[in-house]
Amino acid sequence: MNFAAIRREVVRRLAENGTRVFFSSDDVDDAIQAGYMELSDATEWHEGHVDVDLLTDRPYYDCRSVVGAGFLAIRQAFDYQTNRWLLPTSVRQFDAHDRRWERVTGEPQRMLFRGLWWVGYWPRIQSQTGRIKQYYVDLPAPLEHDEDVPGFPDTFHYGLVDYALTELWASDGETAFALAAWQGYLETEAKLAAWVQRRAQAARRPSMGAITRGLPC
Amino acid sequence: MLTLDDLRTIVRRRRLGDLTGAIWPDEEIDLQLVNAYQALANDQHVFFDWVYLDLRPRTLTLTQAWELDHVSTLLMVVITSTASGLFGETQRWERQLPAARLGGTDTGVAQYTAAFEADHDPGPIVPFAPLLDGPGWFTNPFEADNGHVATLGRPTTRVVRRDQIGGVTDGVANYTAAWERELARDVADDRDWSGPATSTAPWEFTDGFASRALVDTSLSALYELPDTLTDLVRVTWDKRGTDALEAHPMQGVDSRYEITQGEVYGFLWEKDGLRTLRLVRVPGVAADTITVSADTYGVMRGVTDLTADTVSGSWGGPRCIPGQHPIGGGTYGAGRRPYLDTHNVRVEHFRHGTPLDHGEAVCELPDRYAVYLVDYAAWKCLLRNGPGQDVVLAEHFHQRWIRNTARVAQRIDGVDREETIVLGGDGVALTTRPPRPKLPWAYGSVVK
Repeated sequence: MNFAAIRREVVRRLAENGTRVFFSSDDVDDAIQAGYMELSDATEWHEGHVDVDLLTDRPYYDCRSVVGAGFLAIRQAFDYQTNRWLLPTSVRQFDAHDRRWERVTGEPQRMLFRGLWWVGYWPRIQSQTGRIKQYYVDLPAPLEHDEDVPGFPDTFHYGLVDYALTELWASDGETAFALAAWQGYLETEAKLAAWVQRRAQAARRPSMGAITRGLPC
Repeated sequence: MLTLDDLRTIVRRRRLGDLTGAIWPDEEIDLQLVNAYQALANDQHVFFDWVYLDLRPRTLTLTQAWELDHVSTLLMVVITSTASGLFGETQRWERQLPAARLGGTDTGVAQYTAAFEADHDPGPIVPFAPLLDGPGWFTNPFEADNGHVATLGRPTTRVVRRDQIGGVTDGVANYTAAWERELARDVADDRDWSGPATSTAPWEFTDGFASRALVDTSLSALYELPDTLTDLVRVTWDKRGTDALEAHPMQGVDSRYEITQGEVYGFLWEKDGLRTLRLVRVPGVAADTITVSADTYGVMRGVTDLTADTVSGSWGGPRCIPGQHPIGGGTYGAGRRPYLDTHNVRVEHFRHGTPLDHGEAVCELPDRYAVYLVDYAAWKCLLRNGPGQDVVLAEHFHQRWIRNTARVAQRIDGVDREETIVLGGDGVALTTRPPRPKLPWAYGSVVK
């Protein structure tokens, strides 16, 4: 379904016709956009990577600047100079191993994450050379034109309709309708999240000694 | 970035359907948005930040803590009298003491540092003296001769800039010598005393003038934590992690831990107040500072005092300085105050976001997370007894708020879920250090 089709379906479900129109087209569009963002946020389907230029002795990098305003979560990191993946490590583990870990300098080997948007690479490099390939999850670009299509599979597009109805009916005090639509949305969200997390499961070959029960033939 | 006005509009339009404020006034919605903002900061570790304690001898520019509420009026101090502004004592009776106790020549008395204080009720200013002397804003005669301070004392009206009086929030103290507290114990309430401090500007120490003035250069073990702090994560000294200690066991391990000087190896956040951090041991060396050799005004333009790296470009202000982390909630503007880790204490913590105290205030959360606040506000507004109440719908938004906060917690701890495979082990667990030695459980008590 494209943006126009989703909009038509929302209006049809609202049962607004003729002169009895309560919700404007802007209201409907905004509700659909909100649904797109909510579904993307909950399922983390929009994956990407960015090359982070390493800065001299930089403690932490702001993911809001490095990735963008739609940044959601960090994923794996790869060092182009050493051709190695950085090991995610917490500060507690560092302190448990060596209290003076901050004084070590060199090519990054591990990755830290503080708060919601600060990522650090340890050791800190002492020159402004090199790049890290940082994988992440963020929000997709909003639907702008009628022909724009949500980035996840068609099967889950109807979730945007359910979310939009939830929001519109809730703002109108139609609680029962809103909650019913919300249940429909939650089902779609759960299915999309499961599909995103386990999308390669069917293709995985069983390894020696592993349990194969439950996997499709 | 969304402002408070934007968030309120979203609440009205997409949650409550009350566009004109007929049922829920702006103040009510704003209050709930701010509550949500604070709850998110308090319950989830969202806003990571750090601050330096800047270990250096104590200075004073204020004599009472309540003056901080009037900081804006301290930005410019107008000198209209011939008063030199020099003071070395805070009470007249100190002049009766031998010169040796005063640490030098008699330099004058002052109990306040800004002229407007004289207009206030003397009660909160001075513990017990009926008269007010002052204002005083420097403690040694050489300050007037030195190029750091403008020619104070001329019988003309002159405006003194903040930097000439050492900064308006550079410490609160109302006595200059430790022994004053002993002598005045019978006549003054201990709780009104703050100090001691013997200088009015930090440059007196960093520029090497302290020895000329024979002032006490010892450092304190107690430092103020930011009001916005919600959780203390880690404290380092000289780029080395320190231990979070407990007061009761420390009494057994080292009964002199409050006075022993040396390298800082731990900290206590107990018994000294909610916003006071105690360092163990008492720092013996002041933190290293940066000497800026260029102008002391305006935006930092030359970085040669900070780094030998080649500067990229020749326009504008520096945007990234090696080793420095942007402190505070802002992501814009030029760097103003670089800190060094050497002999300095860094407090890594989580804090509240930048305040949402007016309509144009920008929410520090990214837009997607700022929208989470809307569900909380809708929950509370719909729950309120009266017109528009909808308990069932309120509970729906309550559940959405719980979902949102759980998602935030999951994202913050998400790094642990991204372990890569390392041959020979899980690649994450590092060698664990043995715990710090503790006394036996029954130490010092009679065991029956």
